[in-house]
Amino acid sequence: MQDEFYSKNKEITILEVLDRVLTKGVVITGDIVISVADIDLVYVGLRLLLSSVETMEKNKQNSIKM
Amino acid sequence: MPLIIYAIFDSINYIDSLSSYVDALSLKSKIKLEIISTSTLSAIVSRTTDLKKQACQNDVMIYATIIGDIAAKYSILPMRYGSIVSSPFDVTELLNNHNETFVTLIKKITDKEEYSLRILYSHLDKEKNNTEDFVDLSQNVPNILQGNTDSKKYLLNKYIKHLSEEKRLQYIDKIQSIVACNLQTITDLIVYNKQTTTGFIVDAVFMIERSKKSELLDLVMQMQTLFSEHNVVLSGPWPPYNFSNINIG
Repeated sequence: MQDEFYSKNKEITILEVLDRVLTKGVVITGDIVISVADIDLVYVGLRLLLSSVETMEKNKQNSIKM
Repeated sequence: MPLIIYAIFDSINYIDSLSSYVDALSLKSKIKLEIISTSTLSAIVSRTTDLKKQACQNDVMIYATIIGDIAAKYSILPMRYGSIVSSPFDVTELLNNHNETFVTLIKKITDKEEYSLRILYSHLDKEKNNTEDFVDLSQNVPNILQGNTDSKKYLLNKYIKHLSEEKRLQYIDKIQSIVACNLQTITDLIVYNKQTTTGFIVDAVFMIERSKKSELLDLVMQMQTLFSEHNVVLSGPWPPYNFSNINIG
């Protein structure tokens, strides 16, 4: 019964994980940080998160159609 | 060779047991995890040769999973994804230069777990909230808004929406204070997130001692009964991302 409280929707869970790891936690800035392929990491993080939202919305619409 | 930093932890109490755990996790994840330490703090890192490869969702999920696995057993400060430095020297400099900040934060989260509690309107509530019946129109309508002209109707409509929004916010405040009273019986570390959509009534994250998990579940069950017309969703435990929000320059 207690397990019912936990989010069972896998896509929402992935989104929650990405939201946390991309937007929260300890942030290091300054010269010691290397960017990824010369792309600002905040942009990279937001793109990954937005992709997850888009995927989730598509899957939701597909399941409604079914 | 560049290093990805996953998390920071207290060396004094956990270096031996966490080292063994990290070795086992390296085998499981197929990523060679290492620990770089000072006398008081340690960082969990891995080396990378291909920086471009890191910018994909799969690798971010692996990164998050590693942090999640470790945080399930140990008190760590999780790094935001993208903490890549050029050398082990930079890691020790980081730990030494910000020792006090990290130690204080680690003390705050030691032996605690983060949970998220959300109370959302059910889809039936959403339909109810969208109708004008939600606002009591028997209230006195100001004279300036009475009339049949298009502009009067427009203003009246705006006024009704304003009353509806005010009522919704009062309702949310009422529920939030009930939730706050309940959560404060088990923790002082609570953060209320800004509501991103009108579907949210409460969006709270909090940290509780690991030993208080069953108390939390009992509390949430009571709230589920109390707010039976809404969706009460608890998720966790999570690594303490929401309580490690510091910016180190």
